[in-house]
Parts: sequence; C-alpha cells; structure tokens
Amino acid sequence: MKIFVPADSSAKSVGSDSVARILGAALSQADMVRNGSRGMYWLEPLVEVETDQGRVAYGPIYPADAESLAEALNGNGEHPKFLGVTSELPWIREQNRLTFKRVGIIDPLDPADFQAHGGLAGLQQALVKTSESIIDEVMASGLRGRGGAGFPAAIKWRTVAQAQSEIKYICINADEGDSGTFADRVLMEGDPFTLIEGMAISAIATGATHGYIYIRSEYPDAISVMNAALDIAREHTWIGPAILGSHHAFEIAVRVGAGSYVCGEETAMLESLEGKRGMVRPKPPIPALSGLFGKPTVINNVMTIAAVPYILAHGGDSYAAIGTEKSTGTSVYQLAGNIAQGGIVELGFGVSLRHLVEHFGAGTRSGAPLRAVQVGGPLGAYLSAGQLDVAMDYESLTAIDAMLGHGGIVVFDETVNMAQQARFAMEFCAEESCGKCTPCRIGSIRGVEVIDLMIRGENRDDNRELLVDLCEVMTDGSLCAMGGLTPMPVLSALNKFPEDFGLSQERTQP
Amino acid sequence: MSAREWDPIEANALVNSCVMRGNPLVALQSLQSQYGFVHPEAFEHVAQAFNISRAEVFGIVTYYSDLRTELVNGTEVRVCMGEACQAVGARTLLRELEHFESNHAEMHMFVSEVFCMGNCALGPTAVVGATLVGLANIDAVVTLFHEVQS
Repeated sequence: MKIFVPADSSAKSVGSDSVARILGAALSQADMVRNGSRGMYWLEPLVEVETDQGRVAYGPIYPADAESLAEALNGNGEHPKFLGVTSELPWIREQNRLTFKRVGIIDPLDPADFQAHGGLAGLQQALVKTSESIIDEVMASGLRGRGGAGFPAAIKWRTVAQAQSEIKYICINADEGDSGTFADRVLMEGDPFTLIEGMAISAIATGATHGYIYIRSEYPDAISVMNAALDIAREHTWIGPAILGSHHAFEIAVRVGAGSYVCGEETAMLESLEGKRGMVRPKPPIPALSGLFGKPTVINNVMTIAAVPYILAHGGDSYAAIGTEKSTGTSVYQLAGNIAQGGIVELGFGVSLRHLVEHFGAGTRSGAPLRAVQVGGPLGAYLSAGQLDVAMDYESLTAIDAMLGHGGIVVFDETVNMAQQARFAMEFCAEESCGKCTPCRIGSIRGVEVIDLMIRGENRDDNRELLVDLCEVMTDGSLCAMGGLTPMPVLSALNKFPEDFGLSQERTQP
Repeated sequence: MSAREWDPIEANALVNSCVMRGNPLVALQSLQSQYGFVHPEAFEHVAQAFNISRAEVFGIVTYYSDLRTELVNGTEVRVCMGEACQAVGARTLLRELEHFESNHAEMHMFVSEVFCMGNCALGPTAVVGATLVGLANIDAVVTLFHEVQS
C-alpha cells in the first residue's frame, strides 16, 4: 500500500506531521510519500491512498481522525471522510494545471518521479536549440512576468542575451511577501525541480552562469526543500559545470531574506543579494543591463520561470492558445482570507473573479455575505461585491483601476471595516518603506494620520481631499511600486466604501 | 531558536567563514541563527571582514527585522497580520495573545506581529517558536506554547 501525506507547510500547520506519524506507526507495511499539497487547503491534511481506481483522497484528516483512518485502511477503506478519486474531484478536474502539473502528485525530492511525470522534457528541448530559438519560443508563448508587472519575459531574456559580459546572473524572486499569495511556496515545497529546470533553460538562453533564488525567511520549509533539490540536481548534472553533459555551465544558490517586504521589489532584492540594506535603486539602468553586482541580470518571478519548462516541452504556440489575447497562458490564482474553499486554482487568464470566489471558493468561510475582495496583495485594489464579474487578466483589471499582482485573492465578509483596511495599507507602507524616496517614507505616515482624522470624524470632507491629493503624490512621485501602489487599496476603499469613512455619498475619483 | 551562548571568538570565526562565499548580510544572518541575536560587539569584526564601515553594518542590522541585537527572553509567538489573516480574525487573536502575555509575565511569552507566512488559505496563523499553526485560536496557541516551554 502506498499512502501520501503532504509535508507542505500549510498542511503541517493543521497537523499533517502528526497524521503521518500516527499512520506510519499503525500501517508499518505501507510505503509513505510526503508529497506537496494538491492545493485544496480546506481539505488539508489530505491523505491519499493508491488503489486500483487511482489515488483516492480522505480529508480533512486531523490528528484526531488518524487512528480511525488507519483502521479503515487496514480494512475495507470505508471512512466518513472519504472523498473519492482525487483527480476526479471537480475542484481539481476543472483546472488547467500546467505549472502545477506535478505539485501534490510527486515526491518533491525524487528525481525519478519528477522525470516520470514529464520533468526535464523542457530542458532537453532547450539543449538542442540555439539561444535565439529558445527565446523565440518564449516570445511565441506570450509569457509575461507573474510578479505583477506583466512584462514580457522574452524581451527581458533577449536584452540579457544580447548584453556583452563575462558574467551574467539569473535572480529568482521568491520573496513572496504579499498577503494572500502562496503559490511560490507551494511550488517550491511541492515540485522544486521545475523551478531549477526553468532556471537552467533561462541560463542556456541568456548565457548566464550563476543563479540565485531569493527566498523569504518566513518560508523555512521552502528553503530547506529547495536546498535539498539543488544538491540532487547537481548530482544528476541538471545544473553544475556541464548541464546534462553539454557545454553549458550553470550554478544556483539559495539566498534567504531577512524580513523585509520591500526586498520583493526587484532592485531592492538585488541590493539585499549583495548583502546591503534593501534600498530601491532608481531605473535606468535596467537590471537586464546592469543588475546584480552591475552585471546583466534576468530577474523573474518563481511563477514566470516555472512556466518555462512547459513552454519548451510543448511549444510556445500551445501555451499562447490558452488565456486571452494579451494575457496568454495560465495564471495561478490563490484563494485566501475568509473563503470556504481556499487554495490554488490554475486556469487560463480571463476567468471571472466571481467564478473563482463563488464556484471554486464556495463563498465566505463565515457564511456571512461577501463585502470586499482584495486582488493582487497588499498593494492591490479592494473590489466591491458588485465588481465580481471582472475578468482576471492584466488588461481587464487595469481597466477598473485594479491589478492582478501575483494572483492573490483575499475575501472579506461584511464584518470588515474598510477605513481600517485603508489605514492598514498606509501603516504597512510606513513600516516597510525602504526610506529612499520621500513620497513613500513620509507620505505613508501622513496617510495614516489623515485616515485617523477621518475615522475620528474631524473635517471629513476636507481630509478626503487631502488624502486623495496625498495619494496622487505617492502614485506619481514614488521611486517604486511600494509607495506608488499603496494608494490603490486606499483609494479603492475610499471610493467604493465611503460609508466606512463616515462619508455620506460616493464621489468619483479625480 | 538556538540557546547557544554568545561566544566572541567563535562568532568571529563564523563571520570569517562567510567572507569567501557570502556577504555581510549572510554573516549577520549566520550569527542571528546561531545565537538568536547579533551582539553589537560583533559589528566591528563584520565591518573589517567585509571592508565596510561599522555604520554600514549597523545600517544592515537595523534595516532587517529578522536581525536583533538582543536575545528574546522566552518563547516567541508571532501572529500573522496579513490581510488574509485579518479577514478571519487575526486582530482579535493578536489582542487576546497580548492580553495573555501581559497577564502571565512569568511565563515569558513574547508576542509579536509578522506579515504573512504564506498560510493565507488557513488563517488565522500564528508561529509558536518555530511551529506554524493554521486555523489558530487562543486555546490552540496557548496549548502549543506550554508544550514548547516544557
């Protein structure tokens, strides 16, 4: 008998380690795999068992359920928490998992399992192509940066490939600091070789010889899995002095963040990788020409680079056929906050927010009516219940003054106070600002004060004007997205939920 | 969390071992994880080892919230205050834990805020010592706190 008990850190947070211990002791003849998560977090710890019909799931199996499950597995397998064949559960079946194809299915650190499920096919394709034809393939896929900015990956790669330098770098931004986002973590914990494969392909395309994965310290499990995966990849020559026996040399190291949100901004991340304070750099020069230690540097998000192996293995055109015209391929949406069925949903761009929240998410966890949804992390807009029909792609969200960001979707029920959420956005910016530019450093503190005045009921209309004006200065005058986007949650809360600020009627944003 | 006592000679050796393959931040992180804090007396040595000023070392230490100049006396309980956890009652959990902390000073609970542990589908989230707790409530956190203490 083969059983699967996730070692994903979120599954562990609800007891999967204890479940594994109890099942391991009771079913000593069974072969246990500690897989990643399938992404159905409301069912975690999700225990799976290999049967003649395929893998069947039981969940959620809390430690208190483990004994009874062990008894059931020693018998006929009947248990009240039986869910059926995992791959046929609607939540899984209705997704289009390309990047997350193997997550939750394979043993994260078993290279044979990885290859048996299609791993390495992209890298092998890349090795028989020229640098230009790899980049052409990525160009054809239309792949855009998944960190939030949505910049075409192929253009970045081409710039680095054409830059003249002895040393070039690839830096992967795994500083997934946005609340409501966890896709990078789940992928790194559940299928780390995919990230390594994508980086190796990027190295071959751009001529980079050194790669860094910058992981936030809040992800200790992802750090240890990634480090273990790098050792295994080195043993198998997937990276190292000669990638799969070719003339391409590429080495990867993990660097750990130190608790600074703004280090998720690409230039601050470079400073941190150089061992300095995470202060934002002005652009130009762009990092593709002068990045880490002043050398040409590819900076990609985990989700961007993890999409690359599929593109090389199946062709850019097949990837571009998914999604919308300008937002091609799949996006990994993350359902979080007050949601009944939270987790990972990978689908083509353009699905409606309503479908994600109501169909996949099954509404709020509390059962109370939904009031607001924040899309795209702490710098993303708050949408009202009336805006749920927006299509989830870069263009459609921009058109309603919102942004996709890293694909995080945080649901709030009617108990939320939007003035408090707006205040929090400013407070967070004040706390995490690197301090280099004035609009962000000072503006955020003034923002908290103005919102406090409004909450206390002092000159609300005048202070609204002041807040809108301050937001304009921050948007236009900040050096990076931290100060530049903090007004987005603030203004969206102010404009769509004015009653929470004690304001009577809605007024349109100037 | 390491309980190792600060040892200046050993600390200097640790910093030296980071010079070839690391940078000042890596050296400071190594000290932090070894001793649970970075003793200010190490600043001078880090500065010399990496050929930067002591002011720059001070700047790095004070910039990153993971780096501390004093040892936390007790068990740390971090409460996630990301929006996703706020949406399911993180503010209440933080308030309750702060209340517990101040009413039971003898237990040395050290409550702090953290912003996002990537557990956003199973909030509220707390971290007791090094253990992540999903679907957290005051009782579960306090129970685990006692286990970690003993």
